[in-house]
Amino acid sequence: MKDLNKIPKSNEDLAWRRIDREVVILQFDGAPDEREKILILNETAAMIWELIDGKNKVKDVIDKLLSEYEVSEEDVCKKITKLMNKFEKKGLITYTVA
Amino acid sequence: MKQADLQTYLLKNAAEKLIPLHCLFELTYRCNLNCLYCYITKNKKKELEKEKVFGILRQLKEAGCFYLTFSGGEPLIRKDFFEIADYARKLKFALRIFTNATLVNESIADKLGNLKPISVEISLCGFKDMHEEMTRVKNSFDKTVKAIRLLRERNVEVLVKMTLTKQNVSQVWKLKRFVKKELGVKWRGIGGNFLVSPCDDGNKRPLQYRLTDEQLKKYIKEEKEEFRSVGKEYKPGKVKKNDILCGAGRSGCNITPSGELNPCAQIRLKKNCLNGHNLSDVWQYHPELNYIRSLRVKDLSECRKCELLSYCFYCPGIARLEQGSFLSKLPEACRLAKIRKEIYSEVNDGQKE
Repeated sequence: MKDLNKIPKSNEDLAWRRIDREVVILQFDGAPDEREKILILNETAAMIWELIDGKNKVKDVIDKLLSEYEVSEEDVCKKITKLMNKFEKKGLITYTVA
Repeated sequence: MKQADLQTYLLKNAAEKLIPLHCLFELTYRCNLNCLYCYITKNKKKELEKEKVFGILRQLKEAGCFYLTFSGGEPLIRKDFFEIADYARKLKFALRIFTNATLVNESIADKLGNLKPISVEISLCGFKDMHEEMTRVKNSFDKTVKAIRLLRERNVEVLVKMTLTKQNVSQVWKLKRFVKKELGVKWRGIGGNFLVSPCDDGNKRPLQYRLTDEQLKKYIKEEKEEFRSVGKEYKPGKVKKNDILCGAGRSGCNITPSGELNPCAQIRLKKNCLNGHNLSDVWQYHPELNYIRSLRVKDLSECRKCELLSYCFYCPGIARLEQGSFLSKLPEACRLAKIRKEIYSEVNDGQKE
């Protein structure tokens, strides 16, 4: 992760919902025939998604995960970097700088 | 997983865990049209105030509801519609709006576009004369068509649908082409598997508009050809005796303008008012809801061994409205299944397969 002080923010146009242990995200701004795209996040990814509230910095997300799970900081950083990159690539999040 | 598989997974998961994934929220029964086949019984119960609607939306969110459809009556008739819809989007619902669109001008089209709904679904009953004969309001066709164009210009996903009746069935394919080519929006199709519903109080007045046998046969033959022209083939479903009879009350729910919770718009429960009651409690423990959830195909004592079962779109809600019980034999479903089987087991030269 290049900058842990960046603040990830979810795209305002998305619809999403926690359903039981998962989070379902719906994108609907694509080409006419593929407007509705569903993405289902597993338990860990769902927890990270809910921490992306436009206020938490990346490092806050990492700290909160470290306080919840018995995992190394290195593993959490790797996991979050991978996931945030995926979210950004899919247009689910953007970053602002604190 | 493919998108279709994800949808199936979501629905199956919701049905198993009794999560009201879909909600049809009727915001008002007031309407500026007067459609011949409308199933809504207007009553004098007070409409929920905006703050109470907000409260129910928050409870729906907590219960796991994701797909929210605002319907009516005509939902845009409510002066606070956009406050409610904006709030729903803040709660991150995936929003659909069912409207006749006659109230949509440029400013309202802008607001609808800004809401980013998944879709706006609009009914046309046919071309101008037919549409206005059925809506019983002059110039309603022109207003709706103008609105569709305004929404399309704003990149809103518009789906046009049609309730098929004996008056308008002759216009269906021409209307479909008009919608796709002239209006440039999607054709959602005909509603309700031909089952024009009785009114929600059991009044059977709308049933006089159902298609005749001859009209149904002609339509289903044309539909079969339409499917074939795009490489699709209708396949009868495989029905097992332990299959649930209906998904209503499992993954889908309905809220009325006065704040009553139902499994769907065809099944109005008693003692279901949310005023002062927690939505999840009513949803989980309402005895009639649990009875509906318990129903299986094998409980249809008159139908369970019927050879038409795999062609049958049985609706327990309409069965109760028409015949008095969720499990009553529904003659209209039998008629449709018989015709569907007859047409779909024919090969092109008219011989049976």
